[in-house]
Amino acid sequence: MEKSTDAELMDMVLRKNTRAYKVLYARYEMRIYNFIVRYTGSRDLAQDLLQETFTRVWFAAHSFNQASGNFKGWLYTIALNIARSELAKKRYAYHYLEVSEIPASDEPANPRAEEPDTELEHADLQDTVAKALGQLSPLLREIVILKHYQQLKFSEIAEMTQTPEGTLKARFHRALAQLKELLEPMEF
Amino acid sequence: MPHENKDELLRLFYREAAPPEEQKARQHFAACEDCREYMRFLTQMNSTLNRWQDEKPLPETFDRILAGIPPERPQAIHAWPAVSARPIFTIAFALVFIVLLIYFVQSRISMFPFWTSWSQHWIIQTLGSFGFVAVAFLALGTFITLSLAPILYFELNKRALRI
Repeated sequence: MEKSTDAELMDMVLRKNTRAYKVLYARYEMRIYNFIVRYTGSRDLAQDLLQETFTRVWFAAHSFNQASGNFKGWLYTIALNIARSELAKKRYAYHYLEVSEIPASDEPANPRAEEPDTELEHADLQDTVAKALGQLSPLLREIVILKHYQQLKFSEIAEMTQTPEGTLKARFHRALAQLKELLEPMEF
Repeated sequence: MPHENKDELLRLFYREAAPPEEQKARQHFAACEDCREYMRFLTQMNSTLNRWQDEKPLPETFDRILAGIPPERPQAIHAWPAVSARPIFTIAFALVFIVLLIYFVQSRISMFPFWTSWSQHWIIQTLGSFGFVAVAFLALGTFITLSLAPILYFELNKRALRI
């Protein structure tokens, strides 16, 4: 089952196969979680929204277009819609992120960060980047996360967000320019 | 490629450009300081953003998700509905009883006075004594059923007919 394609696994999920569902979850949990953490700036919220995203995958499995087979795009669309509506609900959308919500993780995923000084430095740098990203508008933050961190193609993001590629690229340039300004104090 | 086309540089940086396009752009770089500068900026920004590394969600998340979805129902097994053996045995016994009764009657039929003259009739010649008794029973059964049908009908639909 681990070697099955996403579309094959979704077919099984449609028939209420929880093993296939678990394989899909294991394949995408990190990507979706990190996408939401970076988008919302809150680990607790990301945890809840990750749960909500995969719950929706289970209940909306019938709406997945088997012919296209693009599970990744479908999943990101669900996650993005959930994250957007959550931010809108909490009225964060126009106030941008409370940067203090993103403290450096206690257990960084970086295995190289073994020495205390290096670890501290790494945590500081991560915090600085998180704060800078949190100060971008949701639309700019969204494109940076989807493009840079999630490594999606512009064409995929355009399909997901129903936005022309040219607009997305313009937003990306703008976001990078703003990030440069925000990160200037740390000698970017 | 005009050097101010940053979109093309983005496609190139993220390896979304087609090989001939990439080849062309690389040739352009060699002569264009602005494009090289923008690519350096993209590289630098890339390494800066990479400082925020991926984290892992809580390990119990999947169990929480499973707890929120309804339990899997066992697949319905398509089998014949259970059939009670009682009516089958009743019908079998009734058939055996009727056959034995017909056999008994046909073995005694020659005792009846009308049989001598009737036995010469072509219908009885064709059916034989057993066939004749069987048909007689069938006719009698049909007559009784049809006679009782209105009574049964009214009895069963008493409430609906408000009798």
